Amino acid sequence: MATQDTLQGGDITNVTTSYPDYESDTQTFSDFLKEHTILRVVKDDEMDDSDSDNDEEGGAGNNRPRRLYEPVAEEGLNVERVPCYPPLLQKIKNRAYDDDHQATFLLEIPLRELVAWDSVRGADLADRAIANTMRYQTLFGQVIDRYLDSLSQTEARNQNGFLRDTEDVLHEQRMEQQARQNDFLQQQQNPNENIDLQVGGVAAEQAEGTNNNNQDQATTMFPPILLRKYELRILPLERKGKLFPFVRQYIAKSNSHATQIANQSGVSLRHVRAKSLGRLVTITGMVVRATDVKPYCQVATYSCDDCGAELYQVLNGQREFMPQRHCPNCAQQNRRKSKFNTLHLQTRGSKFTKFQELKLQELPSQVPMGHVPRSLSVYCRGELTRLANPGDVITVDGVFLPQKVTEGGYRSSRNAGLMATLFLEAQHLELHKKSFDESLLDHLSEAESEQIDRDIQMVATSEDPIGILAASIAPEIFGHENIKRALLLQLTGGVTRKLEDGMKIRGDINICLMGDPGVAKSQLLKHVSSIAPRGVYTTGKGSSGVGLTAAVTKNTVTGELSLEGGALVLADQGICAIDEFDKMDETDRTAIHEVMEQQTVSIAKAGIVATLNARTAVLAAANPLYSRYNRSKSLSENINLPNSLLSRFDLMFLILDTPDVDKDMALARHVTFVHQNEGLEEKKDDDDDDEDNSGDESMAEAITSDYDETKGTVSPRLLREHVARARRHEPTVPREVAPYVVEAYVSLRMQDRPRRGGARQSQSFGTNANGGKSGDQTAMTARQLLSILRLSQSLARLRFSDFVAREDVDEAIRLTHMSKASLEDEGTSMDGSKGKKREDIMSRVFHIIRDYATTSNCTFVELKLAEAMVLRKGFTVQHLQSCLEEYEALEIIQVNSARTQIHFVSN
Amino acid sequence: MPELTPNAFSGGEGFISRITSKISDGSEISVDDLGGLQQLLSRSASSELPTLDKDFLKRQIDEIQIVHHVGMVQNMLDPEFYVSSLNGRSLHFRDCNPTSNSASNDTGEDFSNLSERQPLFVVPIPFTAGWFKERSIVRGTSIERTLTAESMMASASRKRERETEQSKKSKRCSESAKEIVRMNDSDASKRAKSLKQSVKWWPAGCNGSDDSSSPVLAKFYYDEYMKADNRPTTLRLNDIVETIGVLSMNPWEAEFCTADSDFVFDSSPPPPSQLPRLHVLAYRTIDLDTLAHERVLNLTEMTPEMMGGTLDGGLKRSLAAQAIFLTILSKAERKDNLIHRLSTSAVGCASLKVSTTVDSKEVFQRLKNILHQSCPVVAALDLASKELHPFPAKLNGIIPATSWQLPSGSTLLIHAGDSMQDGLEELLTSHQIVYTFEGGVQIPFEADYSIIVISNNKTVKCSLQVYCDEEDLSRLEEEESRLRQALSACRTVGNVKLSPEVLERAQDDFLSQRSSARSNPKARMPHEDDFHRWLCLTRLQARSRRSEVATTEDWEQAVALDDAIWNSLN
Repeated sequence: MATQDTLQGGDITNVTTSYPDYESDTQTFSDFLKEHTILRVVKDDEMDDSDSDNDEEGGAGNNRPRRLYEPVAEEGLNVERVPCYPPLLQKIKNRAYDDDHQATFLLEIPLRELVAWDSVRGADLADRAIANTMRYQTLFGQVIDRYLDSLSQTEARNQNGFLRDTEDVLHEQRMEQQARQNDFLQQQQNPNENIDLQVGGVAAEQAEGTNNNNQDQATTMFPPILLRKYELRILPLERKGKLFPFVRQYIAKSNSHATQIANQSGVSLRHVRAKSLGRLVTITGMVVRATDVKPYCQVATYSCDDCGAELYQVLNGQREFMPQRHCPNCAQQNRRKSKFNTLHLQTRGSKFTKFQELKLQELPSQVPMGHVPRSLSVYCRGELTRLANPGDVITVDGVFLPQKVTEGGYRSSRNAGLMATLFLEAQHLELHKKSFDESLLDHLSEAESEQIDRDIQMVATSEDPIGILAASIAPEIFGHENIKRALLLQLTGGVTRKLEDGMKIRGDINICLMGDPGVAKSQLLKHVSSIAPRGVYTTGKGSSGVGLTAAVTKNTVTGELSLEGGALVLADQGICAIDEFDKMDETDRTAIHEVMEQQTVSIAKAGIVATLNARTAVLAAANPLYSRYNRSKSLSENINLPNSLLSRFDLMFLILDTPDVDKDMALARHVTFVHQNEGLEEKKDDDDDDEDNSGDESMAEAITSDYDETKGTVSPRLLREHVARARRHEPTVPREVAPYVVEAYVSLRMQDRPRRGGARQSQSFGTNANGGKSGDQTAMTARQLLSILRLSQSLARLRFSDFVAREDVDEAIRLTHMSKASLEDEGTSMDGSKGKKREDIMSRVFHIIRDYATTSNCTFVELKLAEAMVLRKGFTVQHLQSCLEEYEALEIIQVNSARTQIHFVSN
Repeated sequence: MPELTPNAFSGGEGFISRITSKISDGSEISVDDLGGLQQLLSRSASSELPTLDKDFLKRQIDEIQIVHHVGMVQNMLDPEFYVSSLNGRSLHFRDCNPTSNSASNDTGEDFSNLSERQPLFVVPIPFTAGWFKERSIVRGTSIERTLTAESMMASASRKRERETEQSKKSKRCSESAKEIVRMNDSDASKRAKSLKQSVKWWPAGCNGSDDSSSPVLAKFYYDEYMKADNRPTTLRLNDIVETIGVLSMNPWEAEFCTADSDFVFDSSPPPPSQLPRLHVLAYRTIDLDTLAHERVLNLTEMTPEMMGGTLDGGLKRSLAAQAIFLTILSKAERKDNLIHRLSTSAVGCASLKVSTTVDSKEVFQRLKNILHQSCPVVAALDLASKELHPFPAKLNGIIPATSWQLPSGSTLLIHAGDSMQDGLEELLTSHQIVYTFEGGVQIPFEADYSIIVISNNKTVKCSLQVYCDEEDLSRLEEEESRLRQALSACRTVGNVKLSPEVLERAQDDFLSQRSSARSNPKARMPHEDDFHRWLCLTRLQARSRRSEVATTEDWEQAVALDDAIWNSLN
């Protein structure tokens, strides 16, 4: 009970009645620390060897704390109830660092655990801690310090006995010195007057800063913070602990707070108002600047030349301080009157912590129309430093505080009343959209995770999972099924292979969309970049002076040259969507060749020679050179890109604004709708809420499915999770499939050869200046073989398979065909005069009629109806007549004598 | 609520002095007071308050001085948090300087008396045309809407009075300026310094603004206005705003985040202490077209024919002149208080590319002169010269003054030459300007301008395109005198509605044209942007008639005009 005695005698009891009852809160937290237990999932190996040492437990060997309760089996999981904090605190006491280089422990206090411990006392304390977090962080720290004092070291780690570090040794010497000094003073003075020179206990509490009047002054009172070996973090109610002892925490579904975990994404800076000052808030934003990590002095220690006393100055969150020069100890003893310059700062005896300041800015999606994004400084200390870099989107839990006015005199009075400089004292920091490797499930409650599992299972076992997933890419854009399938495969990607000789075969799939303006290329690009966890959308010109690849820039402050990555480097291990690919700078154009095959960016400028990784899938969109696609010119002439660059794309699709009555109707309706509603676009289901969660409403609502069976689409969240799981597979081509791929490739090459020969003969139509047809840019080469393999692997991944099947190869070849067909069909004139072109038109016309007959379950189709359908699809009556003649000759169809009905013979 | 009448401001003066004494005493400004001030604005009675301009700043200013100001929101700073009451005294609507600081030493325990205000930079309206650059632009939002002979005479007499007053003022100003020089106290020297500093940031006449107007750092107390239950819309960047507020000039009271603060970044934030600060009591946004129309009414007496606005006779003979007139007539038609993201096209806004065989610089110069005579705000940019015109970017807290930052309804004349500046395409096609913020974050902002680009470059794409020659320009110059009246009359017409008949007809025509183009490869295939243009021209045809509803005749005229332009280009 010594701890309690100390608590009762502490300074914190001397608070005025207007403040909360800190004594009671201290007691509550002390009880929580000792009593709270959590459920933990037991691994199978732990079940077998339950008595073995486990470093993670914190306890060691025979001294390991016993489990308080017998294991509880729930839903097939092996769950046990273990004490929450005592093992960790013992670990701290033992200085049992997990890593030799780590010199500090992290101690998380998720406030939801307080509520789980006691729904009355704990919940009250949690509410107060949210409202006045810094004060309660100090209070919790004091309780923990006392708890640690009450513990004894249980583990011998080195030859000298208990593990001690340099601070411990220094502290022991300090204690001895102060004891000697106390003795000396007691001999000279009345012992009753020597209260201030006590070490620990009451004096320690005062020194820690609870007595605000003297906090900036150096005192001889020893501050416990000097020896604190842990960082204390208070987490908001919605967040569960991530570190030990919460690593494998099991949260029962019946726990009402489990549903709140979903609400981890913070509010925008705009929602943090005056009422939030001093409170624990969660904010989402983008880091736009980060300072270097600098040492921050927590406790400045001085020694006096004159009296030999050691003095401590606790700097509670101050950004700057005035070093002390006057020894109060000398003044107290009246040795000399106000002697200055006797104090010297002892850096080895002082306590420093890492400090970094981030500048957080609102995300563009959080900024209302016509407003400017707001920004806020975030102070990160200790292990929270170096976690975020400029450009990262983060969610940060922290205390919203004003920068305290530390200066005295004129400036102090001048600034009073206005607290313009505000900051967020970070408690926890989480990065968004790092890569597909981070599963969504880490951020969801159990119930939501299960729903996601069920949805993925439903999609995977549906008739056409790839169709469903592909349709979920930009669902508001009508049609483009093959392009969407290709984009899905790009999101999933193939497998990157590194051969033994160091050669690397890329797995990323590059796609180029070309065509007329206004055919939704940009929307597709933006949507894909929003789905990809590391998606960067940029234009060919680049969003900054850096361009697409990399540039050497000069820091305006320090004048140092530094390497700054462009969009392709920033999208490493993601997707880089480049709009207006044809308009990129010359320097980027040469560098992008390397990026698209070697997936690196090499730079040698201003003495900096470096190779940066750019393992990104390129999704490009290019517009025709003169506004509209000119059918009489070749592809490369139209797009203004060299063949060498075009050949690096695995798939290329040409999207032209071709007349089609249905599409035209939809377009006309859309345009008139826009004009009728004064610019308001038709409502789209944009439920990609990954970044834009500006509201502070509770998300603890009924959990709904992300799979819409009626529409046959999934939400972006489910799509992302499905792709993330697919990417965990690394499919290979089995021996029995390999010959099939080879055969398919050879047959494609054979198909390509006569056509190219034919093209040479028919120079008069559809040829370019180089004598090659536009199809030359998609000629079957070894690169295309690799493309087919990549696409096949991607398809296998989407089946959650580790092996490529024949069906995957078939689908990959079909997509390659469709890509080529889009170029050939649209790239040549639509006269349908000769060759394969004519064949394609005939078969397409036939398919239109046959598809109608199949869907309406009829054996015949009225000729007038067929004519209407064919015309709607952009063909002429002549095309229909030719088709009928051709297929009649083949005895596939038969037209009746009155020429009014088409009968299918095969049916 | 106090009863105020615009013509009898004697009661209003009492009201203002009551507000002044309340602020001075630290009494709370009541909801009724705020409502009364808002009423002052809506009744245009605020013009009787002293206007905050450079002349006014040279005078001896009372400690609590309520003034009136008009300008454009040029920048938004992060919100300020301040102690709203101290020892029972209200600290709203003023810079406070309490002697004790109750909250600063606490670790976040008692922030209950903290409030929030939003500081905005409000600058003189840029690129104002000569006829519009009258100092009393808002005083002109005057009262006399009925055009009687008496009112015109009264207006003339008021103008004379103002001139006399101005001459007196200038005399007083020169005296007060001398007085400032003589003053030895630190306050005066600080204030003089602050004025000097503000000159650096927004020099007199910067971006073609009125050189006698002064930029201010206006602080808006949105939470307080909400209490008054009159909820004016939150201001947006580039809005023109008329404000009544308490002027604060003591730089010591606001020097809180200047470069000498402990901020670690290389920030050189805007100089809040080096500008006059205005604690806004009431505000309202003003439409540029309304301002211009009222100014025109003040300047000239308009006949009903002029009010009709059409310029059929002169302009109809020239396609280019007609296209230019319709372009400067165009204005963005948006739903009020639309908070959705920007759509891909600004309905109603037009951009025109003028190709010419004569010297493009001369065309630029002549068009510039014509537009300056007819439009209130005209930014003429010569991109063909080597002068840089970077798009707006906020770095270190400042959005440097650029020529692209204009209020809605402005006219932008660009001489593009053969070059095509980055980002220009987005402006011409979508009427958006991308502002860059820290971290390279780019956010598009509405650019509801009428844009005319002089260029022969094929890559410059506008919604309209026309050839212009000597004769066309002469035609415009002939009509120059009537253009201003016609424009001001037509632009005040509200959003033009397209009736279902027009839309149905438009759909049918579009589909039939697509269909006929399919069967005839030589025919012109209309695309989405063509359809947008036709509908835009239909709106403009209706607007040129001062009608808020477009008819099928407007549609036919629009299509005919478009065909004529197309044929002329080919």
